[in-house]
Amino acid sequence: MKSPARVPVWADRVYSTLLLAYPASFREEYRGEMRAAFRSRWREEEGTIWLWISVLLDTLATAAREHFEMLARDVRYAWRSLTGRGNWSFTAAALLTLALGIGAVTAIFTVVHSVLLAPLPYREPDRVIYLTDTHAARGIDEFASSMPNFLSWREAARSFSSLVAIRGIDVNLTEGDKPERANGLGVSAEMWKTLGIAPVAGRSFVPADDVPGHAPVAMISEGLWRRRYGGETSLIGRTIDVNLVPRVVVGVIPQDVGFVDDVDVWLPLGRDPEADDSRGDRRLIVLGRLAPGVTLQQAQEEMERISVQLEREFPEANEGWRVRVVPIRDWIVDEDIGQRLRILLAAVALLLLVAATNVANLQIARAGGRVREIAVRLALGASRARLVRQMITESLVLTIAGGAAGLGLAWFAIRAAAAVPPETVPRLGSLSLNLPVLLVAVLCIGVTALLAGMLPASVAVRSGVHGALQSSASRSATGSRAPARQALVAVQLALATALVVCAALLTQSLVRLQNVPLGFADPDHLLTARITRSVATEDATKMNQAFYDSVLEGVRALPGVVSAAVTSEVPFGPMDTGQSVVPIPRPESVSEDGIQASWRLVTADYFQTLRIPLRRGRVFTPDEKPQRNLLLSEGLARRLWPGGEDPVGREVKLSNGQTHRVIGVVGDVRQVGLAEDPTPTFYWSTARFVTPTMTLVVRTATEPTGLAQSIRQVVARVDPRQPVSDFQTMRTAVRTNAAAPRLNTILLASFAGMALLLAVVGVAGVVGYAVGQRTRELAVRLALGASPGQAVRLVMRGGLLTCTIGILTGLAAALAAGRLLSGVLFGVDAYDPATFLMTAAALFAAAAWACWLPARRVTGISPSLTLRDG
Amino acid sequence: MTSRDDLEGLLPLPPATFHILVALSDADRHGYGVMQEVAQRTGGRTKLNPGTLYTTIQRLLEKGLIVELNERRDPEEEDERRRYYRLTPLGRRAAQLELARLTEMVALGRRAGLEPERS
Repeated sequence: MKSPARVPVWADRVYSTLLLAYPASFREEYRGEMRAAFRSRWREEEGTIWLWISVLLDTLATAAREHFEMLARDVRYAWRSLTGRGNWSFTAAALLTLALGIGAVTAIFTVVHSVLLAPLPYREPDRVIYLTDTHAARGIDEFASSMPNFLSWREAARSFSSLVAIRGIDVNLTEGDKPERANGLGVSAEMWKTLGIAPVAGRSFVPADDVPGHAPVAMISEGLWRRRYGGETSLIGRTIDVNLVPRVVVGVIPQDVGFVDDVDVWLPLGRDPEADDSRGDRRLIVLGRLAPGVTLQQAQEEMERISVQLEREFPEANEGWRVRVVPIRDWIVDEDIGQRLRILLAAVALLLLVAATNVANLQIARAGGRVREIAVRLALGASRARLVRQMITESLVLTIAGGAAGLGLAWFAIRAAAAVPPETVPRLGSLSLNLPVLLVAVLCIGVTALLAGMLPASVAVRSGVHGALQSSASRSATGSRAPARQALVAVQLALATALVVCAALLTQSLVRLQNVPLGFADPDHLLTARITRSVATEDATKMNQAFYDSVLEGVRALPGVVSAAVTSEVPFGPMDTGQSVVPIPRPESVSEDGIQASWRLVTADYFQTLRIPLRRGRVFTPDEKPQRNLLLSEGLARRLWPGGEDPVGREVKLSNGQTHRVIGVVGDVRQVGLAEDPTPTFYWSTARFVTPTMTLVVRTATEPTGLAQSIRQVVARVDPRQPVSDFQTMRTAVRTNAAAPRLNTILLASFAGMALLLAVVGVAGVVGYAVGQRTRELAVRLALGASPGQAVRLVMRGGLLTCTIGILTGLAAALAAGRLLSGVLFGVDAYDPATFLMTAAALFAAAAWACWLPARRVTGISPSLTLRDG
Repeated sequence: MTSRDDLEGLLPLPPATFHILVALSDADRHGYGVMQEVAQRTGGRTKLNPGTLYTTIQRLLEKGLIVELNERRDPEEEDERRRYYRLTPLGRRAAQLELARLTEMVALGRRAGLEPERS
């Protein structure tokens, strides 16, 4: 044997640190001897690097194996324990709870991820900017821009590496025997370079494509390419007919370009002779990419300077107009949607907390029956850490199983979300259970397992120690468990209360929204359809007016049709158009900028068809002359002449500089949305002009959707190459408009319902447990002459106190959440006292009921039997 | 605890396990003693690391192939208290079964003429 060499302290320390890799229980058992063994080997081999390598590898391998085997043992044990006889009801309740909680969080987070978090399909999406015109004096914070201004910006601005313009172009695909209306946009040639989107096939636009006289070209979306043209690459270089004009297809662009996913045809920006020379005619959407190193703030400052300069140079068109630069995501996903999603995410997070609390509570209840088992294991030398680890593993097994079921639920929910109308929520088309979503789900599972396992484990181990110290038959150990359970129940009720208050507020808001006066009558019997005329000749307006006259004549003759009209846009339609109006002479109370109003083109029958009431004067005649006549909505008339003068016969000046005469006043109509006040509106006669896309409105005596085919035939008789699209009833349009708040409310109400159910179960469980624990005490009281009613009250008192604390906390939380909620509420205050009081009362009633259910068992206690057997 | 019938299921024994059983076959030893004994019997070719040694010992204890004796002083290191381990009849039986299995394998190889040539 070699002479013993000294082992340096550092080597001993390093080895002690390595030992941390082992499970605590193993380490505690063998640490001393393993260190001694290590020292012996050190002395034999004098600490060579080979010794270190060998020891390190050995430690890692055996430690991993120890952990794995312990886990496998715990999982097997947990599985047996969870599926054992008598545990099924616990396991099923816990699994259902967890599946609901984790499923709801996963589903909502999937939506949040795809709408708010997933990167837009651009290169460096944060650098892509939306530029919008604003006019503070007229209260406009978002408006399109004009071509001359856009060109001036492009010339002057240094903050952008490129600026591009987009305009809506109404498109019919007219080749072949199936004419089709399509969504079209005209874009600057640098569009795809600016966004950083590459074509799927072919090439992008080049500046030469937009030069007058150049052979007309088009790009099409991937969706249209596959649907109409079979996805064949040979289409590139061939021509398709766009509005009767043959255009060469140069490339195919992905369907989802971030800000829209329903465009079919992309054209070069081209020229609009009607609008492009006028600085005041604002019809363009402008996007840009920030130049390297430029911040949003710097870009905003530069655009401010440029718009002040343009205002000085062209005061007529630009007075008061400024430019606001916005990250493109904030334009795509408006504040309202973001707010709704954040509310829902907060709600499901609360629901998951309630679920975790419920499972923790169930586990504590179950641990009550395991005190003896735990005491025995502690007595046999199992360490507490070891027991806690085992119980957390059990909770983990439970949560993973529940989480897997929850993911399944989420998958179904996401499939169902595909049925949500696409206008409701932007970017919903890209929903999927992708990696970030799964990571969040896994995180939820882990946190829930810890939450639901830690407290029961520590409580159980603590009471197990008590149990071991006292006689094993003693039950007083359970006393230490009750406060934990009561606290959990209070938390549950608080969360449920907060959710129920929010759900109640949202429900009231939805009811008010759906009962808001529309301004027109009986939307169930109004059918609308869109018609885009392929504009090909100079004399288009006259031709189109004749076309619509013939179509209306044919439609009116159809059986079941009461009346029919044509308008530039129906209420709740996708487009809005605006001009400012100034009365002549201008009253003091109206500013020089006038009143911002929407305008619509309508045929004479429009007001009769929608049943919009005439308040003063007259409506248009079929061949209205002169063309400078217009009608005002009540609200606009009131704003123009606040003194209440009769507007009929008076003149107004529009922002295009023209003077018009008022011939009548009609009722207010909600044009853009249920939640918006009726838009001030003026109407022109279609005898003046028609826009390329018009909407047909038909009032029917019968169920209207059956008429679509007959209307198509009428149109085909007038012009065989004219498509008609987007048939829907006004009722559908109204419903779609409320789809987002309705979806929000339904989801939140169901989360609140689940949370309430879980909380009630939790309360009943705790009180029931207390009854079980206090049976002897209650029996004594009954034997000593307490009435059963007194005994019931005694048991309920504790439970009700807990519930009251929980409910009050929940009300406070709901008050705190008011600010988040107030943005999406319509016609109801976020702090509405009635709602708070009613909710509190309802929850208190539910809690009292949950206390009473188990408490009434007290009356079944037989003092003599209990005291004799106990 | 492993029953006698289950012993077959433990085979083949991992080499470290077999070494430890062999080392305990003629005397009770503490962990470090087992390590030394194995090294000595194999002429220094097999050196058990502490991790392998003690995780295996733990497993053998669980399966009842060895038992732990009361702590006693290590005569060599005055300060250290050490646990001694003793082979159980079950452990002895397991070692025997493994030996039989290895013998059979050796015979199998020999019959096939795979014995290394002696120089």
